[in-house]
Amino acid sequence: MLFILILAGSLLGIAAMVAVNAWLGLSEPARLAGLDDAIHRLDTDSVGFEPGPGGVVSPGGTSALVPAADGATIGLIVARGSDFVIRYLGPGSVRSAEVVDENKILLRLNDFAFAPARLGFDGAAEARDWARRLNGLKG
Amino acid sequence: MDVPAFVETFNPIWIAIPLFTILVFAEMFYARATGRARFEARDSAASLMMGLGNTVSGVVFAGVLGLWSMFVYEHRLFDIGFAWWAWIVAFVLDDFVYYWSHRFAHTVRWFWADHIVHHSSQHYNLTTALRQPWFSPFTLKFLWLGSVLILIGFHPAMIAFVGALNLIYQFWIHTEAIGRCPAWFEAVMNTPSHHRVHHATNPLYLDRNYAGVFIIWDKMFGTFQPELDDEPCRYGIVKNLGTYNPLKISLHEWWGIVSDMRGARSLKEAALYLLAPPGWSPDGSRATSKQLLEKWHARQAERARPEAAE
Repeated sequence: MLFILILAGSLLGIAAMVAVNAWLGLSEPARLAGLDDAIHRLDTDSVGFEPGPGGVVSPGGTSALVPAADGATIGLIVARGSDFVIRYLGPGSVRSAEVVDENKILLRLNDFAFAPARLGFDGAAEARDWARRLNGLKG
Repeated sequence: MDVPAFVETFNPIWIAIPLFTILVFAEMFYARATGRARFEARDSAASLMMGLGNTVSGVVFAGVLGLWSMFVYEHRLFDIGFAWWAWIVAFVLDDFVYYWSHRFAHTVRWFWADHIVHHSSQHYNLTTALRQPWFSPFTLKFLWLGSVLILIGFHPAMIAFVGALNLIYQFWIHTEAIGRCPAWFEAVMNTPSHHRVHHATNPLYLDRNYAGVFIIWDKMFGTFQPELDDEPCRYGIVKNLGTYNPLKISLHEWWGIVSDMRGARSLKEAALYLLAPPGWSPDGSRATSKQLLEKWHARQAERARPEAAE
């Protein structure tokens, strides 16, 4: 009984800490400043990323896709909260890339720790083209 | 042997929890006022839930760990007892064992699968200190490293007590709010500055500063790296998580090991997926900390070359 009470008290304490955290507004959502910013982040992350042509950043700066110069992988950056998560997509890494809301892609990876991401594009044609390229990496 | 009453009735962790809570609130308000600490509500929620789960796990596994400890103690080599000096020796030796246990936790993937949980936040604040694994006993480290001092002759209750003090010490060093401490303190003790380096993913900082309380172990065994002003820390893990789900945070590296081992082409390859340093792969498609550092050094040298030519 005491254990249950301690557990309930702890959950209440956690809820209070998270509520105060959110109320204080301690974080800004992560946003990419542009394609150069995305390339710089990929380069720093992988200690050397050679970008190829055709990289795109979503209109709000919440995601980016940058093909590597050697054509083997596509660098993916997705904003999660106040930080970015980076993946290098190669053959077999994509589970599905589905066009939603005309100009967005709902991307699911074969990656246990990567929650599905919505990637934005300037137009429907661009979204469809990227969905085709990403689905080419299905495994 | 009679165990002092206070050891049986007093668990310093339970006393520390209210203090931890107050300090987390204080750091949040400090962050709001100065901007010198970073928080993200969902990240903090995940860290705190990991801390709670770790406490529950401790209760669940306490019986097994207690029975094992008493079994080892019955076969101890010496009778050390509870003299005042034994507490001091136990505290220092426990920290020495912690250093090696922690070092193995970063250099053997089987142990890293457990410890990665603690490093999986991209933030570095007091809630990160509480982001702890749920399934640590599965690494079976308690059978050997966790029992070595008991085998020597230190009572399990004494080791549990000094171990708790060690963990309490490590709480306050998980912060960006404190810059550097006085030089004499930085020279001997683990500090926020030293531990920021430990949590950083910059290649220069990977697998450095394993200390718990005393930084001297890193200096003695060649793993010390000071925090550099021109190399700001980037926190997290080499392949950062894209989830705040506590269960996925707990299990993702174990899952990765199982997936890799299932795809292994030989028994040796499977064993290396389990026991080699994190990042090892048979085709070199991933990179270990050592390989990342080599790549980084090569890059630095390349960047410096044109300047040298001028």
